[in-house]
Amino acid sequence: MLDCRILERNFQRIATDVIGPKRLEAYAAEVVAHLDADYCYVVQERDEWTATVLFSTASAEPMPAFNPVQLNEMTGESPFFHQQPFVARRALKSLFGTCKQVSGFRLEHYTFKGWILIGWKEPVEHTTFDIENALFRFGDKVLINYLSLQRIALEQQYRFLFSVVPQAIVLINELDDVGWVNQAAIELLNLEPDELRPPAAALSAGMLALRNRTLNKEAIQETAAQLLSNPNFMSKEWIWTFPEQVLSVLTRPIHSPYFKGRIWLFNDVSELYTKTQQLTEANREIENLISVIAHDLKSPLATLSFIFNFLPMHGPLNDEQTDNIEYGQKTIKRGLDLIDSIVYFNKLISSNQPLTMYDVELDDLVDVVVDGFVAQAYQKEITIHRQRTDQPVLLHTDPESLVRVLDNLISNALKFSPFGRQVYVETEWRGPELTIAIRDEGPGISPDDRVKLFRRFQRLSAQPTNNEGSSGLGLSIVKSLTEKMGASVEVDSTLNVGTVFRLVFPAEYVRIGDEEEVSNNRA
Amino acid sequence: MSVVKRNNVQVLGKPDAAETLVFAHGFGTDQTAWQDVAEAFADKYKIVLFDYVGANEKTTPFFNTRKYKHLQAYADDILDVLEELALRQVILIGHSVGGMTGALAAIQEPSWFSKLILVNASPRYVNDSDYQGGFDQQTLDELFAQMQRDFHAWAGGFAPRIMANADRPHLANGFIQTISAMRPDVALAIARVIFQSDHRADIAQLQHPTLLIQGTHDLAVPHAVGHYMENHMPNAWLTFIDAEGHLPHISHADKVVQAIRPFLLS
Repeated sequence: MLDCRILERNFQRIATDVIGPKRLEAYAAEVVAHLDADYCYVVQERDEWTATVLFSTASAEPMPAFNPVQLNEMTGESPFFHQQPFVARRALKSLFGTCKQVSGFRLEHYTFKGWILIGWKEPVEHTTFDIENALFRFGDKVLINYLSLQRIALEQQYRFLFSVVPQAIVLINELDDVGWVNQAAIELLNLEPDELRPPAAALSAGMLALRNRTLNKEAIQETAAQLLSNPNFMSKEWIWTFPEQVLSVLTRPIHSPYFKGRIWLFNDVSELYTKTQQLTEANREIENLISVIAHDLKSPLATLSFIFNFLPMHGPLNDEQTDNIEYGQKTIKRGLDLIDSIVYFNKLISSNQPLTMYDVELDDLVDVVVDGFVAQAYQKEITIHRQRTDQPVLLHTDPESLVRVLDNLISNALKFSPFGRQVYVETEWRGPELTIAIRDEGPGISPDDRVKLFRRFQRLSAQPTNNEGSSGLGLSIVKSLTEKMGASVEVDSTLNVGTVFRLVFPAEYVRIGDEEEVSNNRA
Repeated sequence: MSVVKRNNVQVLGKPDAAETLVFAHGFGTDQTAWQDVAEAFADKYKIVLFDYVGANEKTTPFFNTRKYKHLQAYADDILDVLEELALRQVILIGHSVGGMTGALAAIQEPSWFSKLILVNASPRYVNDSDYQGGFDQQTLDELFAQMQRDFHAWAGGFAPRIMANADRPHLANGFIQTISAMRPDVALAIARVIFQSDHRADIAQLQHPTLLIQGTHDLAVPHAVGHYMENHMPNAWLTFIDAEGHLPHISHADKVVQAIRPFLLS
């Protein structure tokens, strides 16, 4: 009868005295001595036909992989097996070719599957109970040893992995009072040097101190409030601005049965951010410049106009002179209109002023706009046709902007239509959406032109047919305003057939008005 | 699962025959390479055909670089098959590296084999001072690099040269197909193991009567290799057959059968 207490005591001594990979060797030597055995192996099963020897008392040299089929056959219902007499089949010959008795214990852990094996050259008298008892205890030591080595290896891999990324990474563990950080985070949060597992308190203090240094505290506070009220809060590009840098912060919770916490990732986006700022600034300067130039151009033009007005007062003018003055005045007017458009467009894109939206009766508004073009249409022998919805519609919109958009589109339709054609202004339902279409029988827009249609100052190939002026700004204003109103603009065009510009208003801006409402909301 | 499935083992021929022929294929082919030769013996022998792990789509799932890093692992697989089918005293007929692997198996378990027939086999492919293996290291490095760059393009160039017999292009095309059935990374890993192997010391231990069959014109295995083996193996006879290419069992099956037949009866 073997005394397993001696074995346990010796195991305990090893656990305190021996460290690292040597420990397994010491345990194995202890078991071999305890059981008067000759060989001890720790074997890992890699797959059905492949097993590798992790540890051997027989040889320090690596042994080739072998087929564990005989081990699998010997392992029955119970993890322990004992065979005497034992005959090694082919695959086990290199391990137990000289053994007449073999015992094994199957280890079945999700990170480690395999066996611990003991071999005797000659049979010994120990009971199987004693052998199983010793192997059972040894099995625990093997597993713990394997797992702790594996954990060290994993930790080293993590350290390496996270030390090479430029981002600062902080892992908060809600179940434990230590967190996990990488070197970049230690520097960012001003934590204890080289302490990759800082106490939770130090981490919170570091994060708070970081937040307190930000320039955009209020904005951060607002988002932080969401974080406090919602444990599942996630943020991807939360901008923290500092005098010397800008951080984009990612945070998300990690919830698994084994870990509860939150990951924080601080990404330095200073360069990107500064570049964007510079670009925005440059853009703003250009817009300002345009505004100033436009205004400055206005006054000489006004002076010119003033002078032209007074020319007839200096004496009678002949017909040619009168015609020239008239042409001059027209040109000045066109110049002033262009300047107005530029100033308007600049204001439109550079100001974030919301529009004044309210319910207007649509037919009425469109009629007023169309009426304004009757004279111009008449000059080119064009008829403008109106088509309405069955029931009056109330549109929630900014009427001033809508008028400007329609003005532009109808004026374009007339401008580019040849003499004697038709222009249609149609209000229609398209499912729940409302559309206002301005259709002409003009030259159409070539595919090349369609790409640049809504860009500023684009001159397209189609030309006005009656010497009308064109600033190249009209359609860009249409697009900006339409989008500000929450609508969109579509174009359909066939060369030599005509073009349709269609404003599309989503259902939420449109409703069918009853009579009283309609009359209250007339333009 | 049984190793019969792992190695896609087929048992054919005469079920109650006294003798069993185990056919082992070489690199870039699978058991179908032996079709014509095996058929010639199916009336009198039990025939065992199998695929080495990694040779084709069926066996590739069982490939891992941990195990298959030397030819011994493939020899173990042959022994697994014989063990599971309870076959003893078999006659192993192996082509190229399949033959060398069979030799390693027979050295490990001598009583499981009675005779060996090695077709265009080689214990070492790389030249070494006095030894002429047919390849120098630089050529091999270039070959591996090509395999890695574009496996299928490499196969398209390699197969016709190794198969030869340009007057019968379907042979090279068939070889391209069986090479291409290998997963490129697996093929590269196996090719490295084969071409870097050196079993000159091992073959000296093979006591079994062994017939060495060699084609007269083989780009992969020079005549010197055949003579080397005959001189260094205790119980081997070398016979040349008039055949072009490294795969005479495919291109000149009749001649291979003729060479094998008297040896089986001896």
